[in-house]
Amino acid sequence: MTSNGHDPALQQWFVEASQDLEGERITAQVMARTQKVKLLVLAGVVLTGLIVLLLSWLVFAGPLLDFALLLSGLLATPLIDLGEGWLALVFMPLNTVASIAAVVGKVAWNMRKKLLSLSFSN
Amino acid sequence: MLKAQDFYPQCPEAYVVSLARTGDRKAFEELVRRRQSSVRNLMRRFCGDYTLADDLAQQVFLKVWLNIRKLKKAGAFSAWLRRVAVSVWLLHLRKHDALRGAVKMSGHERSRSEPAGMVLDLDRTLAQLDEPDRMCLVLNYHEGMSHREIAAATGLPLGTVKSNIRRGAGQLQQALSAYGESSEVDAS
Repeated sequence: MTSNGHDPALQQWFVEASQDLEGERITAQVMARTQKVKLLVLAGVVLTGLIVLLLSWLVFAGPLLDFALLLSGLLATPLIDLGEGWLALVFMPLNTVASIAAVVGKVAWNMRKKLLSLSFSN
Repeated sequence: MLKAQDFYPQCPEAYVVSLARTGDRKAFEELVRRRQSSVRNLMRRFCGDYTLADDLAQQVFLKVWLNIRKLKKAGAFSAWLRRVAVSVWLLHLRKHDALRGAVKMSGHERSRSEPAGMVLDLDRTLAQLDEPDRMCLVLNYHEGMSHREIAAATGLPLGTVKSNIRRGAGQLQQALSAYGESSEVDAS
């Protein structure tokens, strides 16, 4: 018996039975199978994505449209009531919630840039 | 510039495993090239059918490809590969209900590439053993796994593993002595 309790003759039989097998063909077959699996997984992901997108569209399309209408109505609301004359038409691009939102956005962006440049200069 | 096919064969296995874990196909290909012989030999000892053994070996590598990212230590690849091979074999057995002893391996369905002599005799003799005895014996003698490792890999109790190996080795020793006698007769 060997130190690991093995029968030396049996051990020798197993050692001799272990052959060094040529591997190019099986390697190519394995790689071809992995490529197939990769494509299947990719197809599965794309299909799942499409189904999720379709279901989301079916569930959320109505509420999203309502929200978009509400938002566009809110943004077009005049800040000061100038009536319906030519003055109202002239000032319409500026006299809306959207114009205020744009100005606030622009100012915030500039301030952020200034703050960042200050922090970098320090 | 050094190409992958020139570079990878010179790399240590842990490095190639690390690259394969990141999804590097060339590194994985190199791993298959390095390990295919040992996995196929193991499967050949398990099932005795060389065509089936090659198919099972392919399944092992496919499973490795799908799960290699879960392997935490690249240095543990060898033991992990062995566990994957055992799990693929057990899955195959479960599919064929072989562990219940309902189906005994015929040992006749062999490919044209089968070798003759001692290898064939070993596989023929192994085919005569009960499925659990053969599996434990092969893992112990062919793979050098300890009794505890075999118990962990197969899910069999430690005592069962020991008795399976003892029984299997006994049967194999009988066959080996008969083989020795017959070869002496042939020689004379």
